[in-house]
Amino acid sequence: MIEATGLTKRYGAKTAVAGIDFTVRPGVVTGFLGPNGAGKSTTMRMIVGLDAPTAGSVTVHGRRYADLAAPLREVGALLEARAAHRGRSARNHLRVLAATNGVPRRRVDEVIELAGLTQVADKRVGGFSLGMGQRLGIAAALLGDPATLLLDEPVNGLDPDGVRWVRTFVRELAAEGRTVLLSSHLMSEMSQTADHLIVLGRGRILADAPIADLMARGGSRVTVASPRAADLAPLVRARGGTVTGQADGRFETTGLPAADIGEIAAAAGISLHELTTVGSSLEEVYMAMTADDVEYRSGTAETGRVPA
Amino acid sequence: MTAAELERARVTPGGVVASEWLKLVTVRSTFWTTAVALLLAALVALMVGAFADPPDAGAGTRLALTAASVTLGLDALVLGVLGVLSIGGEYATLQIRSSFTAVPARWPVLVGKAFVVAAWSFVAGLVVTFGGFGIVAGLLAAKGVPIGLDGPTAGSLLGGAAYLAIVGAFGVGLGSLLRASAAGITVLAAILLVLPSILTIAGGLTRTEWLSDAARSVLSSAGQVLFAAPGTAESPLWAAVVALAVWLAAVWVPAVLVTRARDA
Repeated sequence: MIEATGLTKRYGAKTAVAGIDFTVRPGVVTGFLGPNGAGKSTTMRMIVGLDAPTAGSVTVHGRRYADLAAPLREVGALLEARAAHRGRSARNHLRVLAATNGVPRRRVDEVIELAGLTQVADKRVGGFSLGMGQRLGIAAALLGDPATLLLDEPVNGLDPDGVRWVRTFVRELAAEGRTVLLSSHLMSEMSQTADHLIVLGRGRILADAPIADLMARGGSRVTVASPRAADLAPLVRARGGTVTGQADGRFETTGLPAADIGEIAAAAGISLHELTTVGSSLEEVYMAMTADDVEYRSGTAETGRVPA
Repeated sequence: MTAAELERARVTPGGVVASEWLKLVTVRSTFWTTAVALLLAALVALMVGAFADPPDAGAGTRLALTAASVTLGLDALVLGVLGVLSIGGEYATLQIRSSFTAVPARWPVLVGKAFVVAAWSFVAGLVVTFGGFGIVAGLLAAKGVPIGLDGPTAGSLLGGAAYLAIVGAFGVGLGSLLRASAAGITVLAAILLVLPSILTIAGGLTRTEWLSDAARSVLSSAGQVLFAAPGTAESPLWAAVVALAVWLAAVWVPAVLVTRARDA
C-alpha cells in the first residue's frame, strides 16, 4: 500500500508534481500512465526517498520510506536501467545491495535465475544491452522479496520475449497480494498489464480509476455504410448525431446509438450495408485526456484527437 | 526460498561495511591505484638499498626510514584518488541511487565507505613503509651494514600508514561533497601538492609569520609530522593531529549535510 497526500515537487519555477493524492492498493497492478515529463519518475523517486518532496508526503505501508528498517525487504524499485557501477559484474552488484540489508547470499543466486541473468551474471555491467540492464534492475528490485514493487518503464528496451515475461511476472506478483506500481508512457502496454490506472499530465492526476471504467468513459462510435450515405448524414445530424469522416458511401458518427441510426434510415427508406458500434480504444481515451498536457509536442503531428 | 532468513533482514552497520568492502574489491581501479603506490615504494627502496653506502648502522637506519617514507607524498595522492573514485564513480554510474535506496539514511554509506578505504589505505601504507624499510635493510645487510628497527623508527613507519588512511578518508569526503571524480581529483591534487608550495613561497616572500604557520598546517605538511624521522618534525605531534582532524571535519561535515539534503 502506497499513500500520497498533497505530494508536490518543484524544481525552481518548474512544478514537476503538483500536489497529488493517490493510493496504490495491494493485489492489483496499478499503472502509472502519462506522457514524458508528466511527473511519473519524480513521484517514484519521492516514494523511495531519493527526491525530497517540496510539500506533502508519501508513505509505504503507513511509514516514510526512510523509516523502514529493511527497505529492500519492503519495497523493490526499478527506477533507472543500470543504476549500477559499470565495472562490477551483475552478481557482485546484487551482492553489494543484498549485504546492506542483510539479505542472504543465496537469494542473490535466486533472483539471478528468476530474471534470466544466469548466462551473464559474471560479466561486467558496462557491457550489458539495455534489455539486460532492465533485467538486472528487476533482479535488484526482487532481492528482498518485497511486498511492494515500483517499476519505472520496465519493458523499455526488452525484446518481445522479455516484454511478455515482465507482463506475466507483474501479474503473478499482484496475484500474490503484492502492491505493484508500474509506469509507462505507452497506453498499449498498460491495457495489457494494469488493472487500475493513475493517469498523470503535467504533474496532476487526470484520472484514477479501474481500466474498465476508463474504457467506458470514452463513449462509442458507430460506423455506417450506405449507398445513400450522403442523404443519411444530414438526417443523423438533425437528430443530434455528429458525423465525421464522410467518404465513399460511409461515415462515422458519435452521439447516437446504432439502434437510433437504424430507425432513422428505415424511416427514410435508406438501405444500410453496414452498421457497426466501435468501442473507443484506451489509446484514444488517453490521447484525449492528455492532449492538453503533453509537454513536448512534436511540431507537425496532431497528437490529440478529441471525441466530439 | 529463504523466507525465514529474509525475515531477519535489516540494515545494520556491519552489513553496510560489508557492502562497501565488496564494492571496493569488485572494481579494478582499487587494484591498479594500489599497485601504483606499492610499485613506486618498492622501486625507490630497491634503488636506495642498491646504491647507498652508509658509514654505520645509525646512518643506515635513518636512510632506510627516509627511503621507506619518501614516496608517501605520492602514495597519499594515489590513495586519495582511490577515495574520490570510490564515491565519484557511484555518482557517475547512478550506482548511488541503488545505494541510497538500499540505505535511505545515506550517511552510513559514506561513513562505511570511508572506513573501508581508510583500512585499505592503512594496510597499503604498512606494506609501503615496513616493506620499504625491510627491502633497504636486507640490501644493506648484504653489504655488511646490519640495521635494526627501533621503537621510534617503527612509530614513524606506523605514522606513515596512518597518514595514508587519513588521506583515503579525506578523498571519500571530498568526492561526496563534489559528487564528481574529475573535480574531486583536481581539488585533492591542489590541496596535497600545490597549496603547501604556494603558502611556503608566499610566507617566505612576504616574511609573514602566519602564512608560514598555515603552510605547516596544510594536509600534507601535517601528515609529514606523523612519519618524520624521530626528532626532525617541523611541528609538535598534537598540533599535526589537530590540523588533520580539522581537515577531515572541513570536508566531512558539509559532505554529510549536503548528501542528506540533496536529491540523489
